[in-house]
Parts: sequence; structure tokens; C-alpha cells
Amino acid sequence: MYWSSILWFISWPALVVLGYQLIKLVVSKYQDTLEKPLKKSNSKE
Amino acid sequence: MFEALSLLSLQQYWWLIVSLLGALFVFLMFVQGGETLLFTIAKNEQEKSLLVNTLGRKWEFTFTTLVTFGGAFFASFPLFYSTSFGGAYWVWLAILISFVIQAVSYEFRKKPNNFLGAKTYEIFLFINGLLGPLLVGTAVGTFFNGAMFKLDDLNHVTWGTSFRGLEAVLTFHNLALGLAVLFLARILGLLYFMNSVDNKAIVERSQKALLLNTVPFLVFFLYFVIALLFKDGYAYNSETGVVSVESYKYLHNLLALPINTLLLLIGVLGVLWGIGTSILKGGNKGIWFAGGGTVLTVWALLILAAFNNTCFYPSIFDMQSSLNIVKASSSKFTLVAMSYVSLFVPFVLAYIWYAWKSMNSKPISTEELEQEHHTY
Amino acid sequence: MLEGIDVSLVDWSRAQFALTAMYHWVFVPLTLGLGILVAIMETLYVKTGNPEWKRITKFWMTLFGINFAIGVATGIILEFEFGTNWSNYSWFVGDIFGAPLAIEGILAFFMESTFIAIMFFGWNKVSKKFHLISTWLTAIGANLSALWILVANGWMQKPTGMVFNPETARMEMVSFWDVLFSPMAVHKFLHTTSSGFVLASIFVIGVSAWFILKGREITFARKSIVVGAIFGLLSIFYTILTGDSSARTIAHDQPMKFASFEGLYNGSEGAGLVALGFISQNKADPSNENLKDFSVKIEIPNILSYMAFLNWDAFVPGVNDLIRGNEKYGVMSAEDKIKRGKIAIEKLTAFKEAKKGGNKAAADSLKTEIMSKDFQNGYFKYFGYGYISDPHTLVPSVPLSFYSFHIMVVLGFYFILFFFFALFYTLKGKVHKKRKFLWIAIWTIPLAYIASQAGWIVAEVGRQPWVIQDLMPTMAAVTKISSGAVQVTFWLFAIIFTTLLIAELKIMLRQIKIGPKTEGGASHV
Repeated sequence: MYWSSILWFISWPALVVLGYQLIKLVVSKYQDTLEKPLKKSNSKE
Repeated sequence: MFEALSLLSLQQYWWLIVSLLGALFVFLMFVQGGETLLFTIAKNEQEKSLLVNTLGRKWEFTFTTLVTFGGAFFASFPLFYSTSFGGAYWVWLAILISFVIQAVSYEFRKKPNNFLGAKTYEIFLFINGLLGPLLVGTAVGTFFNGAMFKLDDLNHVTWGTSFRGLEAVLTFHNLALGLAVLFLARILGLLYFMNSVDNKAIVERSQKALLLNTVPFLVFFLYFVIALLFKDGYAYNSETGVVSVESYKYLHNLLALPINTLLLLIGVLGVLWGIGTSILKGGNKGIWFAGGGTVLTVWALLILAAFNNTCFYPSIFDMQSSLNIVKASSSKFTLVAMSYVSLFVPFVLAYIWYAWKSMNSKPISTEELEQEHHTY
Repeated sequence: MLEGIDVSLVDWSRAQFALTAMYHWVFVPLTLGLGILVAIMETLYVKTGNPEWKRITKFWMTLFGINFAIGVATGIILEFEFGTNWSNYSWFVGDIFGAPLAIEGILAFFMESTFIAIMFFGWNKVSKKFHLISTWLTAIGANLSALWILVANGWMQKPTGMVFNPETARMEMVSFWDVLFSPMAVHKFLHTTSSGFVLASIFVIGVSAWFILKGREITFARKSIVVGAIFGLLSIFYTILTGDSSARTIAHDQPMKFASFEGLYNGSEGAGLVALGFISQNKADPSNENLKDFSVKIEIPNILSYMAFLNWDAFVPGVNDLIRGNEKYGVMSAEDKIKRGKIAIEKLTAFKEAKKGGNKAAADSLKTEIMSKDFQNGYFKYFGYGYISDPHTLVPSVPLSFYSFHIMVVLGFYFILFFFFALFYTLKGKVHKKRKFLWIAIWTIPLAYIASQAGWIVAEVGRQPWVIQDLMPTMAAVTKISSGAVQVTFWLFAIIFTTLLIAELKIMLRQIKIGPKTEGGASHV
């Protein structure tokens, strides 16, 4: 009788887990782009 | 399993839990006691930072216990919550505001560009340390001396004075308890410093200051207890609920509840033992005896206030409005549901203990603070 | 029954609650979302072993800490305010409302406060894994505390799982699960916490944009943006989804709130959605200043009916239908509800009189009657209406609800675009060239806060005059105290919270300026 509410509740951790997995995937795939230094005037770094 | 208990047993069970939370809160007010000692025990900035940091890692326990105490009281005895908080408006708000300014002070004190300056945040801590224990103790005093409220047919509260609770200070017996709690908090603060700080000078100064705080504590505490033995109390008839005055009510309760009396005695001895050995021999174990003793003592006093057909919140304005655990409690259904939740408490205590142990295995020192990423 | 309650007391008490709640909600959404973001970052550190992620984690954790403290400070007031300023309310519903608050303390606050200490101070004291678990538990603990207070709030919007007991003159719980799994509570929790995720993601992107504009910490900033943008994108879709389902529960349980934030004055079948509009200042009905219609509006036909009832042609009642009643569609008029409420109150008074007079037989039969299902559903359900004398006071401020709701929705859809472009530019490796976008990113931070506050205005202003929907109006809930006393505490809180807010902003900005620290160096501040 509470199934709909329970399913909704479960979607909450699912959102967090999905978020993490997606981030992990993108971060490893685009590692080079993300870590590429700027070409000019990067003196402050 | 809780369904099988009678409503009265559930009410008693919840009074035990709420009182235990209150007792733990009084013990954890060593944080507040410590906050009043920052300017006396520390002689330079570095030492002060050490004290602030060692307290800072515990302040949230005290705070959370207070909030949980409030929530549990609301859930189990909502009539007390609505009567006392709505009625004794100024006392509770003064307590709350002192905790509000505390909550940011640890985090903000040493941060650059903090608007008010380190000194202000230290004063905030001092205010919290002074007002918190003093007012909480005074408010608990009204459990024995009564308050000025009247309830109507719908259990809506009217207060008898426009001081809204502040008048409790005028009863010396309340104030004595407030002062006893304040000095006890300071004693526990000193014992906590001796336990957790790796700095000879601070430990020595703390040990010396112990005696100075123990004398006033004993004076006020003994006055409170002895006066309590001779006090009239409000008893209620368990059949009709009618409230009447009973002479020597609390003395009768002590005799009627021998286990509780034993608890009280062991508690007081624990506090004295913790203080005594620390004054005489030093060492870092005092906090455990005095802390454990504090929990037992406060717990027993709160049980004394409510068990054996006693009104735990007497009204000196309208006697029949006085609150007792039967009148003030939630419905049986709610108490049962909450009782299942209370089964989680041991589990919570276990992880707190584990976390505390893994963090406090070594006393805090200036060297450690220098390597720390996050400091107060 | 309400003698001695003056209007200014109710207004000041409401103002004080609004002030403290809104201040609390300035800090909480960031805590909810940043906690999860930091946990995700630390997980990446533990999984990859890349120290850069540790550095990123620690920077955002510092900001989390500054913000957390003040969230706690503003929160304690709220819990006790139910007692201090709304004591009649506290008694009336304490049997139901208290339980979630207690559970919140036992199950969530302790988790949060225990593990936050390890998260901040345990880096060199506990294992990597234990530290990571602590960070997650802190984030989960924060969100769990949101769960319980929102369950309590959801119950106020849609009371369920209880029965009125005349003996004690209060609501008593009969089903814990009805309270916890009430759709109103569930959707409120999901919508509220995920909106916090959105806000925190925007915060992370905005702050990172500032670093890129300054030409500092480019890798740190790009990585932070990616984390924020992906999590933000998922969260905003989720927020919109749960917002939509929330609206449906509101249409069902709080039709007046629904009509006012949709700006629907006159209901109809196949009702249209007012996408944009300006509410007219002309008085359509001189007897009530709330009954104004639009001077300009853009309306999309049939959408509202679908949104509310998943049926393109369903009848959606408007403000006027709910006041005057609409027989054709079975909408009860306010007058009728007030009549039923008054009967409920009379029965209760009769019961109390019989009880006082010692007439046990009469009292018992009245009690049975009051607690019967028919009476509870037919009369008691409208108990609160018995306090109302002018039906027009049942209409909340339509302009405030309508504008707040529309600001929130418009910003919500803007955030989708925002997250999308943040992610797109960063992955294309050209985010540092998009200076205009970077500036927009910084200025999106305040917009996130505006959307967030607007959401609460919709929720809380939209249900006026009710503290508990249909059962208790604000004027019956308030503590009897001089309004002067409440004014004093109102200003006290206003001054304290504003001071603390300024302090937090100054500290936060300075910490951002200092930037992420290099490992091993003197990090002591």
C-alpha cells in the first residue's frame, strides 16, 4: 500500500549513486582535457 | 513487544529516557564550563587556541544532546513542551540565544576576515558557558519549586506573570541549583582539560582551579539537596488525577524509591571521588568518575521529581494545572512507536563511543594543531 | 475560544517564524548538497589515489564547515520555537509532530555531529576508508535530518494517520507509516533535498568560474565544474520531476494553495496554465482585495488540468469556486465548511461541559460520536474552519504565491541550460575562453538562492491561513504572550542572524580567495 512512496524514496539514493558513477566515467574519459594547462599567462599558478 | 506494556509503564520508560538525555546533557556541559575558563586557564594565545580546539571537537555533542532532549520531550510529554516553552518564554529564549552564538564561534573565531574579531567570539563562548548551565539549572529547579502557569480546557497555557519564566531566578532554591550546575560544569571542564590536553602548564593550572570551584559547588549543591528533603511537593491521586500538597514529598520519594536513592548516592560519590583524586593526585581519569557520577546524580534527581505520583512540573499559580507524567504524556500509540525508535539508542551510543575513541586516543597538543588541516 | 489573541501578536509571531525559517534555509540547502558533492569528490580521491582530488575535497570541505556551523545555529531556534511561540499548536499536534523531531535527533543529528568531527579532524587519525565513510555519513545524516523535519512539515500540509481525541483535545497518531509514507511528505523531501543539490552544484560551478576568471587553479576549477555540472544536471531534472509530482499532491490536498500559485481565479474544465502574467491591481470584487485577476497573461490551454489530475479536461477549481462553492463539480463552499467546523467545535465544548458537570453518560456518548468515522470525516475534518469568521481570509496572498512560484519554475528551467553549458564548455576544453559565461556562472549563485527561498514561500504562504491544513489556523496556534515580547525577540533574531550572515559571507569570500591549499605546507589559519 505504500509501494509508490517507497519506490520514490529509493529513487533518492539512486540519484546520488548514478551521479557518482557518471562523474567517475566522465572524469576518467576527459582527464587530459581537464588537466591540460592554459597556454598563456599562467604565472599565478 | 512494547505494545504489551501498560500506558503507565511506557510513560515511566519515556521519563527514564528523557531524564537520561537530560543527565547526559548536564555532563556534556563540561564544554560550557570550559568556555568560562578560557580567559583564566590560558595565559597566552597559543594556550587559548589549544583549549578552544579541544572543546571545539566536542561542542556538537552537547548541542545535539540538547536538541534531542527537546525533541524527545516534545514527542513523549508534549504538554510539558507546550506549557513550559510557551510559558517560560524568556528563560528558554535566553538559553537558546546563548547556544546560537556559541554554534558559530568555534568555526569563525580564528578565520581571517571574520567581521567581529576573535575576542568577540571568545566572549560569545563565555556568555554561552555562563548562561547555559546557570539558566538550565534554574529551569530544572522549577521542576521542584513550580512555575506560574494555568491550563484551560483545551490545555492552552496562560502564564501568571509578565516575566514569563524569569521570575524563577527570584526563588533562591532554583538559583542554587543553577549555580551548582554552573560550578559543576566548570569542574567538569577543568577535568576535561586535564584529560585531553597535552600541556603541563594547563594541566597544573586546571588542577589548582579545581578546589576553587569545588567549594562553591558543594555549598550550593548541598543547600539544594538539604532544602529539598524538607520541601513540600505536589502529589497526584493516580485514580482521580487530583493534585494535593504533601509535606516532605521528596523525602518520601527517596524512601519509596530505594534503587533510585542508591543511584543518587553512587552518583554523588562518583563526582566527589573524581574531583578528590584529581585535586590530590592529578591524573587524567577524573572526568570519567565525575562525569559518570554527574549522569547518575542528575538522572536520579529527575526521576525523584516525577515518579511515585509526583507532579514533575508543579504550578504554583493553579495547583490543578500541575503536570505529571500521566497528564502530560503522548498517546499510547506514539509512545509505543517511539519506543521502537529508542532501540536504536544503544547503537548510536556505540558509534559515538567508537568515534570518540578513535579521535581522542592521543591528547591534543600545539604540535598536532600545527599539522591539522581544520582548526578552530 | 480565541479571546485575548490580537492580530498583531499573530502577525509578529508569523514574522518571527518566517524570519528564522528563511534564515535557516539560507544555509541548509548548501549543507545538503555540498555534503554529497564533497563525499563524491573524496570517493574519487580514494578510488583513484590522485592527490589532486584530496586537495579539491579539502577546499570544498572548508566551505562546508563554515556554512554548516551557521545552519546549526539557526536550526536550534526553529525546533524550540514550536514550543515558545506556537504552544497551542504544540499541544494540539504534539502527539504526531513530536515523534519525527525526536527521531531526527536520535537518528540523524547524532550521526551528523559524530562523523563531522572525524571528517574535519580525522585526516591524520583514522584510515582513508573510515574517513570516507565518515564523510558519507555526515552527508547522509544531514539529509536524513531534512527527511524527518519535512515529514513533519508534510503532515501539516496534509494531516493523515490520526484521530481527534476530545478527552485530551488533541490529534493522536494511529498510523506511523501513514505519516512517514504520506505522498505529500515523500515528494516534499525529494523536491527539497534535490533542490539543495542543485543549489550546491551551482555554488561549486560559480566559485570555480571565479578561479578561472582570475587565471588561478585551472585544473582544480575544471574538475570541480564537471562534478557540479553532472550532479547538478541530474538533480535539476529530478527536482523538476518531484516538483511536478508535488504539485499534483497539492492540487489534490490543498486546492486553494494550488489555485493561488497558479493564479487561477475562476476554475474550469480543461484549465489553462498561466505561463507568465501580471496580476491586476484593480479590485474585481470590492469585498475582498485578494480577488483580482490578471491584467496581462500568456495562457497555455488545458495544461493545468493535465498537470493537476493527469487529465486534459479535468475540472480545476479556482479561488472563487473554493470560496463560493461550485455545486456542479462538487466543490463545497467556504460557508458550508465553516458551518461544519463550528458544529465540530460545539460538540467538543458540549463534551467538555458534560465532563465538567459530571454527566458521564452524556460525555461518553458525545465522545463516541466525535470519534466516529462519519463525524471525523464529515465535520471534524473542517474543525479549523470553525475559527474563521470571514471566508475571504481563507485566501492566501495570491500575488506573492503566484510570483514566487513562477520565479522558481522559470529559474529551474534556466538551471538546466546553465548546467548543460557548464559541462559542455568544460569538456570541450574551452570554458576558460567563455568569460561571459563565467561571469554568468558567478551571478547564477544568488539566483539559486532566490529560487530556493521562493519555493518555501510558495509552500508556506500558499497554505495560509492554516498551520495545519483545514484543522488549525495560525491565530489558534499561537502562544498567548504580549506582542511586544515577540517583537523584541523578532528584532533580536534579526540582528543576530544578520550579523552572523555578514560574518559568514566575509569569511567565506576570504577562504575562497585563499583558495585550495597545497598539501604539506602550513595550512594552519
